[in-house]
Amino acid sequence: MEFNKNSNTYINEFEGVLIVSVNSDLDETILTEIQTSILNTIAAKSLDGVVLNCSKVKILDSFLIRKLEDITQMIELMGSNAILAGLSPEIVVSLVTLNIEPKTIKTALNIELAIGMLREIAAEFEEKQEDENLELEDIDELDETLT
Amino acid sequence: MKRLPKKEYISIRHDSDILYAADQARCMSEQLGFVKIQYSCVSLAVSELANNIYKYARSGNIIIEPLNNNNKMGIQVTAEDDGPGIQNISEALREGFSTKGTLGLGLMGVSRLMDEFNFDEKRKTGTKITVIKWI
Repeated sequence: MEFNKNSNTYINEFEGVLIVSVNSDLDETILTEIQTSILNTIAAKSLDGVVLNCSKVKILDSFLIRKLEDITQMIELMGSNAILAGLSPEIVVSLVTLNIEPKTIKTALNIELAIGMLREIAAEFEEKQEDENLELEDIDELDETLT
Repeated sequence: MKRLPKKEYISIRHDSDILYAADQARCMSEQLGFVKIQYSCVSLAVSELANNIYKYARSGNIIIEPLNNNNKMGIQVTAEDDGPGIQNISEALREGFSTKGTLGLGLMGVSRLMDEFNFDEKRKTGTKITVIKWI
């Protein structure tokens, strides 16, 4: 009897952050499901971002790194942020030896630090938004005087 | 004299076989005395070779065997298939690895992860690649 794992097995929401448990035996199908689930959740809720927890990944081969790059890019296209956390020394040595040049992905040593980074990014963005809102009000006024 | 682990033949037909082959390579390397960083490189190389078999040939074999060269221990991995073959191996090795699209065999990377890399040029059909890593 097969235990039917779906994407929910791997995704947990923690205080406005999605934590995704990545491991080496995730195949194409389940990774695509996870990807869809993440993107739908971002579309539906206000989140600070997504942590892709790789601490259980034993082998990070070209297939998996490509999927992670794609997922990261999609998350950022939706206006959110993704951080890869928990890459082990062995993984990074073999990754660099393989001479893969991954597209720029933000990384953190562990989940806690990744969440901290996401909070910081969210806080900076909020501050910036507040400044821009003041400018928008000026533009509205100008708009009114012109029309 | 320590007994060597047995030679392993792994058939690559489903994508789950890729991880299995990489895992077996990791186990054998560990048994032979490779340190973590080394056996991670071996299992990654096997994963890449098995991925190529699955992607380009749909089926093939990964053969993993221990080596003992005057008490210098090593591991040898052979990846073979009856797929389309590699027409120009030096180009395939030179082209390096691209994370864009599905181009690239990642063989440059595999040769960097291992100590020895051999491509069987005499073979008429398909591909046979042998790699070795020493402790």
